[in-house]
Amino acid sequence: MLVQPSATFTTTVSGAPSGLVGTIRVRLTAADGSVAVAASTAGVRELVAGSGCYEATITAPTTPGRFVAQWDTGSVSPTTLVADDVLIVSSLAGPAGEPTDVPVSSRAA
Amino acid sequence: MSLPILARPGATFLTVLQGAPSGLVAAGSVGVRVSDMAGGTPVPRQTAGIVEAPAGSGCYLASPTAPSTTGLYLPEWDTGSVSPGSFFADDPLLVSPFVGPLGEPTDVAVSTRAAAGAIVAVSGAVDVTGDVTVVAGDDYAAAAGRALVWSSSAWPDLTGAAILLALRAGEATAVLFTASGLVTVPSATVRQVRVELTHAQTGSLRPGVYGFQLVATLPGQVVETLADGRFTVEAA
Repeated sequence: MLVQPSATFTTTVSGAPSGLVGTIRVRLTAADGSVAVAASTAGVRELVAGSGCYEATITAPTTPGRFVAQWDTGSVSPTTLVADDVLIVSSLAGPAGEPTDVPVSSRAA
Repeated sequence: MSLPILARPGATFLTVLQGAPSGLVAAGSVGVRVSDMAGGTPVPRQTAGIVEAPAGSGCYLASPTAPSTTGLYLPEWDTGSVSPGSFFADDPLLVSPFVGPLGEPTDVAVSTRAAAGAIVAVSGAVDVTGDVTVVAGDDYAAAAGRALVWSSSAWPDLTGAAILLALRAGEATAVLFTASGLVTVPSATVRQVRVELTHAQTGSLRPGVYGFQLVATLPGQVVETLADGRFTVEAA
């Protein structure tokens, strides 16, 4: 995923037990393992009731870098935590997170 | 099929292992390497720099250095031995010079490049994105209206600047070709530079896609890259 600094993006998880809204939470971890966005249940919704598929909209960090969104079902263990795709936060992303031309647009910004 | 991880040659990238036992960093047993999927391991197995985050999660993060050669690779994790339960592959890794510094995809949104300040094509050989396409053996002379011309309102005052066009096969590779250019509009709202190429110069280039860099050396030996991107040489 690609997103501008401070922009919002949506992360999803599937295959979790259903009915976990209020328990299932998501965090954003930087490439060095530090916490970029603390784990939270706020704004998490189950896409379709009973599906076990959840989504949350998170505000990206202000600093460019590589991050990973991690979901857990209320506790942290190898069987309760799942990582979404790597998130790249870059000022070279488009407003909706679309790829742009880095070599040229970065010079002309 | 997963989307590949993108990285520039020799740049770092983020790879993630999840669902592994926790505590493997302290044990020194979790490692990651990058294979070329042909039996080679251009990035040997390493255990340094791996973090488990959050603690106890069995989720490990590493930022290895990508191979220096363009190509498709595979980040491979193991937990100290190689077996079906201890060996994991991440998404494929695509190494290309046409990627942003953090691994951003590029060359998709032309509209972005057409924003205020972006490069505007005023030559048939230079397209609206700033990229170049020439035919090997052709002349690109200003007198014929075919010179390579770039312009932008975002460049600094180019009065007194020397202009150089450089081509490389890849970002981390040596310069294959250079040509001097000229500042044609140094200080108006939209600055402009041009490069003329002779048929001997374009004929010396093997057809293919190169990376180009258009560099201005300003007074005081201040060097600034004005544009970079693709330089395509088509066969005559």
